[in-house]
Amino acid sequence: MVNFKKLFSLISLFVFFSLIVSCYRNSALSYSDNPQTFKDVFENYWMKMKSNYAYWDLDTTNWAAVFNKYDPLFNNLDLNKENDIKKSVSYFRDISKNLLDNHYNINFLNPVLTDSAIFPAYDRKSKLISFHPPYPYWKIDTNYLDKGYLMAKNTDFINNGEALTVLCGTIKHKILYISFNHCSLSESYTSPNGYYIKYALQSYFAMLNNLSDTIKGLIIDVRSNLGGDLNDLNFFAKHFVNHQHLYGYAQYKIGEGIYSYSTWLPALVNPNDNYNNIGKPIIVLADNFSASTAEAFVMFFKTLPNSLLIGENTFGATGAIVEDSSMNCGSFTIPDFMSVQLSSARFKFINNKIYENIGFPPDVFIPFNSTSIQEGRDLVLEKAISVIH
Amino acid sequence: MPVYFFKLYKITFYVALNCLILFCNSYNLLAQAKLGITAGYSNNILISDNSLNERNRDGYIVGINYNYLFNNLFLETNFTFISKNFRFQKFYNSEIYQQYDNNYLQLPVSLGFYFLKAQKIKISISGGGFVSYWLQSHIKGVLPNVYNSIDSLNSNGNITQYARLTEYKVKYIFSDADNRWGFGWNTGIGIHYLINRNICLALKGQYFQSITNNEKSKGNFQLYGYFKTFVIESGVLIELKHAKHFLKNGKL
Repeated sequence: MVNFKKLFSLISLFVFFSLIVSCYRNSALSYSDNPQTFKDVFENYWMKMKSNYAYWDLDTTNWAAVFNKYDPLFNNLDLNKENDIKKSVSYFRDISKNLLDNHYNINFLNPVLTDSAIFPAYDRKSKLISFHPPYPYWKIDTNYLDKGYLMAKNTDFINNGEALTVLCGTIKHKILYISFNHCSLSESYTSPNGYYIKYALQSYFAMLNNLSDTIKGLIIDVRSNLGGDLNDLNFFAKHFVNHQHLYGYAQYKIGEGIYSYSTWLPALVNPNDNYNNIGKPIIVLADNFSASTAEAFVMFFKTLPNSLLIGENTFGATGAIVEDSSMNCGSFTIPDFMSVQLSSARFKFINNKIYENIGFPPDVFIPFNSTSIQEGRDLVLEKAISVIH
Repeated sequence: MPVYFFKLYKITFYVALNCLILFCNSYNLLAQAKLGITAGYSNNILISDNSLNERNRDGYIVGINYNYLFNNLFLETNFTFISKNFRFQKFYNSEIYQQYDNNYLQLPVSLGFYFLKAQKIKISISGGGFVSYWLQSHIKGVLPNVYNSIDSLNSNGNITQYARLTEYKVKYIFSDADNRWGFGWNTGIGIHYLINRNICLALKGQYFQSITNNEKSKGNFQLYGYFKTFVIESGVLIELKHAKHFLKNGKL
């Protein structure tokens, strides 16, 4: 005999459960890959930022609130009106002003906005009292180098308006010095017009691999080096290790979910066959505009036992820009309107700390001194020279 | 495995069975109820609107089945430990991939009816909803690690540089962003073979589709992704009143 009362209660429970289940809905925003309106542009940008940005777990920007605030505002703009196009820049600037990724910048492809750019990290730094623009230190540092120094340029590789410049030689015949103003060393090494760069680097590596007893220490100068090709780190630093050397950890997005991160993978410098145990002090010079790959250089050398970092905090753009379609996050383009540069991977130092938007601190802080620079004196370099006996 | 583990499992099983019988007794559900154990194979895939190539992966399922019969209808629940594994890769046939081994506790509640009854065989279809809890996850994958590059100079003076493909395998650590409770719907077809009046063998094919995301929603701030899981399982079911007898006398 069926107990209808109990049966009814069980069926009611089942129906109730089904109703609860059916109430769960996922709302996915779709967007056009070929935006025709400002609403399309914004929603395309918003969605790609959502999937391509590497720091959502650390960033304080409320991206959902950004959508709610700006979607109606962009909806009121007309993609065919010049004033509206110009107005959109202020919206994008406001949206991104506090983003953590210091690589983040926007270049506009729309002809009306070709003179406009958004670079929140630079804007934030420019408001600091200690702010100074990047400076080409090689212009005065040649004064410190012994006769016979090498200065090589390759105008095929320009960064921030400056051609790749490598300066190397000895100081007081007891210090081996090198500086490079951006990281295009390995690319330039084999490029058709890279002969001088190649010659300078070969000379430096030859001296490094056969270091004479008269050399008491090394200075590696990456001040105002805005970074570049991450391969340059292994290309250069492999001369300083005789085994795989761990200097930090890298993390990648492994899907388009906002928190789809890989585990932290080892950041390694792989050794050179011609390794010669250097065993001498290595002084690294860095400033507020040592950024990206230059910061990787700084952090790598910091993990060597005989190193010292002199200068200022680095820029704090410690992630990697990778132009590789195998990456699940990073830079993207809104067709015919703008390109957005983002980190494709993020980095933490061997002490498990992420220095993005913080900058790596020096062991010996010496601020940029424009007065001394105008007098042809480089106080940071002078300090480095003084600590090598 | 040490003997005390078997004893522990046996005691747990007896306590669980007694609790269920007590519950059923209190609601007068014992007469038409069957209790059994099932085990089988699962095959799961993540469906999402991202640009990755999702791949299905195999797994397993074990469970305790409760079936309450009334006329040709039945209400069924199957408390299961189920793996919902999947893999995705950025490019077709790429060496770069990531695979998840996920274990869930799952409780489906289904309403079904027997649409075909022979002397010893009954065939049913059923449908309902389920609630699941994400117990644990292990991730294995391969990535090009640009922070671990190799360069070599060849005889032509050219430099060859590449990022090393790096394999990783790790137990997933849950965060506040994870949505460990999930809901979905299920449907299935089953065959019951009656060995005698009190015991039957069951073979079931089931389809589960989740409707909740593994990541917590932040308004529109998530990608749509859900699991589709196919299950084939078999098991033994006994009349609960005989389970009671079994508990008392140690034999069916």
